[in-house]
Amino acid sequence: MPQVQNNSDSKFLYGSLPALPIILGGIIVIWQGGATLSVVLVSLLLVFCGIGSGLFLWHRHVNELAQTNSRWLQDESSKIDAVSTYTAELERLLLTISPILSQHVMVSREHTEQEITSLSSRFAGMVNELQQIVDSTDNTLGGQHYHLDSVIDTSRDLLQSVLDLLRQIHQLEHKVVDDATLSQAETNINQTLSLLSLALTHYRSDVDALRNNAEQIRGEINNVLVALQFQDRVSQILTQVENNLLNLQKTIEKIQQQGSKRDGNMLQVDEAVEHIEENYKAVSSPTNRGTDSSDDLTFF
Amino acid sequence: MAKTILIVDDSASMRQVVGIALKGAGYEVIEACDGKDALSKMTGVKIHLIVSDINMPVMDGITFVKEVKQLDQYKFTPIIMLTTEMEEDKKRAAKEAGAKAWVTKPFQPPILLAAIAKLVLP
Repeated sequence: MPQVQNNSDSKFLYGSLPALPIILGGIIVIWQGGATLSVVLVSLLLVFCGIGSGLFLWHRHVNELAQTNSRWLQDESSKIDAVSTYTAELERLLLTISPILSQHVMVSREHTEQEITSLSSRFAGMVNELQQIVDSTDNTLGGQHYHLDSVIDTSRDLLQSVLDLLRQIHQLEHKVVDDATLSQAETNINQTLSLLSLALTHYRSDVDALRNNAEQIRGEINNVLVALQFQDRVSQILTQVENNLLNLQKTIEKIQQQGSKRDGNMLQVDEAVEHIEENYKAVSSPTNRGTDSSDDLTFF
Repeated sequence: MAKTILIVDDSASMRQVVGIALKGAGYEVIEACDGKDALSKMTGVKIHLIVSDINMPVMDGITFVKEVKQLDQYKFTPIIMLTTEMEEDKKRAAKEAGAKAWVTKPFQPPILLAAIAKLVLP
């Protein structure tokens, strides 16, 4: 309610009304004290003039109050109209934007999922090929490694036996083979063995390098697999956004259908916000966890 | 002979990611998009291990584990929960339902493979 206007008329009115019985009492005393009728009548006339004046002021004050109330009602009504218009505009805006946003989010989500699926498929093919290369490299290197080892060992044994045989011949046949030839043969054999040994060393380091490369490729594959999971998370979040937008649209439509029967409890904001928070928490919480991998695996 | 693993996840890309990791390690893979789909696909098939998500439409992971444990053919099949969830209540529910391990997404393939290697019977 508005405050009563504190003007001079109302002050006068409220101040003079309690004085009326006192004035009347004074006139009666004057009359009883021997005053003439004319004096009493004049006094009464003055009193009634005062009362009339008071009533006039009272009436004016009541009118002012009524006008003030009317203005206040008009102001409040126009404010309510403005809020209603604003709300209706907001609803219209949301109803216009929501489907467009939903559409964009849906397209983005579908696009993201297509990209993930396409990437995963291509990656799956690539991984298969890489895996085959890595496996065959491992097998081949392992086999060749073994093969080369056996070749070099066999060669060493054969050459050693040849050397021993030559020594025996040399001793038995009393220098049928001269020393220089024998020495040259021994040197040649040793050089060949050294070269073979060197080749084997290089080959072994190549094998180790290839094995390291294979491990690095495996590590990269694992990193890509983890990255793909984050992309999947993005897709999940977009799904949540899409669902929330659709729910918002439905809620607004429901409110609009209620028309003038709307009440303050129609939009349960706390409940809606809590629901949205729960949804996003479910899809985003693991990204906030630490790097400690002990939380990653639990056996029961 | 390669062991067969059933992957249950509503996300196609996640099934692909898990599939890539498992196939790379020499396992055969069957995919299902939710608990109900998994139950229909596993019927009559020898499954050595199940990797299941928790939050799925139609039939969630915990209900699926309970259903599997009711089936004579699969009641001893080890189940690993692979999920974004980290709440202790959910972990407890999975354990009570009969799951053997819990791996959190995003997972590192070697961690999942280590868990599988430990649980798959020779």
